[in-house]
Amino acid sequence: MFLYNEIVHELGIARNVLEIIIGEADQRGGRAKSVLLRVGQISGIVPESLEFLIKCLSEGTPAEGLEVKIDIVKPVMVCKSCGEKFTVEELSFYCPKCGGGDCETIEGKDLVIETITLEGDNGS
Amino acid sequence: MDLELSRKVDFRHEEIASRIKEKLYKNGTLCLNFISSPGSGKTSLLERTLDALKETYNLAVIEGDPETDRDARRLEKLHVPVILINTSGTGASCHLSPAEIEQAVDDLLLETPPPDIIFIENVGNLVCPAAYDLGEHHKVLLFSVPEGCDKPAKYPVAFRESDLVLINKMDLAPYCDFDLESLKKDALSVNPSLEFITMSIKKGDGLLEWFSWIEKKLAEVRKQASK
Ligand SMILES: Nc1nc2c(ncn2[C@@H]2O[C@H](COP(=O)(O)OP(=O)(O)O)[C@@H](O)[C@H]2O)c(=O)[nH]1
Ligand SMILES: [Mg+2]
Ligand SMILES: [Zn+2]
Repeated sequence: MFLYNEIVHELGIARNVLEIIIGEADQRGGRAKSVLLRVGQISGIVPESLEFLIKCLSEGTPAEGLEVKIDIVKPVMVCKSCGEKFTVEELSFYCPKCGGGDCETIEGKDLVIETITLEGDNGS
Repeated sequence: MDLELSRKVDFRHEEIASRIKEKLYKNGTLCLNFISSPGSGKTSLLERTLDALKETYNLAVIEGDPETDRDARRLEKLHVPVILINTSGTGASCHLSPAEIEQAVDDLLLETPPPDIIFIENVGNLVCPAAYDLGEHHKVLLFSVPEGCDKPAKYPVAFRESDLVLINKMDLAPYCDFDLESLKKDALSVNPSLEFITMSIKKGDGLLEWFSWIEKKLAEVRKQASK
C-alpha cells in the first residue's frame, strides 16, 4: 500500500529520472532495458514509491517495461573531531571511535542514476 | 550494453536553496523553517510569536498549505505580511521546495524595510519537509507530547536536520505517559547538537525562552551579514 503523500512526493523525482534515462538511451540509439539507482537512506525518498512510479510513467514511452533496481546507501559520516569515517548502522550518529557528536554526512542523502542497461537496435 | 552513468539527480534544487540563503544573509534577515506533524501547534505558535515580537521586529510569514487558506487567514489577523503557497497545485503537496519559495522570499525582501525574520510554516509532515533545504538558517521541529516518544526513531531525518526541537503541549504530559528524558536521549542519538525547549503554547509556558532563542539566532545572522 502506498500513502497518497508518498506517491506525490516521489512523482516529480520519478519523472525527472525517467527523462534522463530516455534521453541517455536515445543519444546512443538504444532502448533502456533496466536501470540501477542508488537511493540514500536519509534522502527522504521512499524507494518502493520511486520504483513503482518510474514503472508506471514508463508505460507508453520508449522505456516501457523498464526494470528498476535500487541499492540503498547507508549514511556515511566523517567525525570533525578525530577524522574517523564511519557508516551509520543503527541510526546512531555518534563517532564510534571518539564518541564525538559533531559529524558531517558525506553519503546517504543523494539519489544517483548509477547504470543504465541498453538494448540496441542491432541486438547488442 | 551497460552505461555507467553515476549521475546525481538534483531533486532538491540545492542551487536555488543556497541562492536564497545568500539573499537572506545580504539583508540580515533570519529565516526559520517550521516542520512538524499536522496539529503540533505550528500556527498557534506563530500567532503567539508574531503577536509578541511584531512591535520590536519586522516579521513575515510564508505559509505552505496543501489546499486551503485557513492558516494564512488566521495569521493575517496579526497584520504581518503572509504569503500563501498552496502546494497541491505544484505537484508535490507534501512539502515546500526551494523553487516554490524563492519568489516569495524575493517579494518579502523588497519590502521597505525588509523583514528581520521570515517564518516558514511548512506542510504538516515529518517526512518530506525534512529532506529539503529551503535556504533557511534553521529548521525548527515542533513536536507535541501526544505524538509519543518513538518519533526520533521513526523520523530520524527530521530530528537530524533540525537545530531546535520545541516540545509543545507539556500541559498534556500527565495524560500521555510522556518521558521527556527518553525523547531527548533518542533525539540526541541522531543529532548530538540538538537544542530543546519545552513549552505549552496554551498556557504560555516556555515562550520567553523561545523568543530569546530567536533573538540569539537573529544576532548571529546580523553578525554574519555585517562581515
Ligand atoms: N493542550 C494543548 N493544545 C495545544 C497547544 N498548542 C496548540 N494546541 C492545539 O492543537 C491544535 C492544533 O494547533 P495548530 O496550531 O493548528 O497546529 P498546526 O497544524 O501544527 O498548525 C489546536 O486545537 C490548538 O489549540 C498546547 O500547548 N496545549
Ligand atoms: Mg497550521
Ligand atoms: Zn571521532
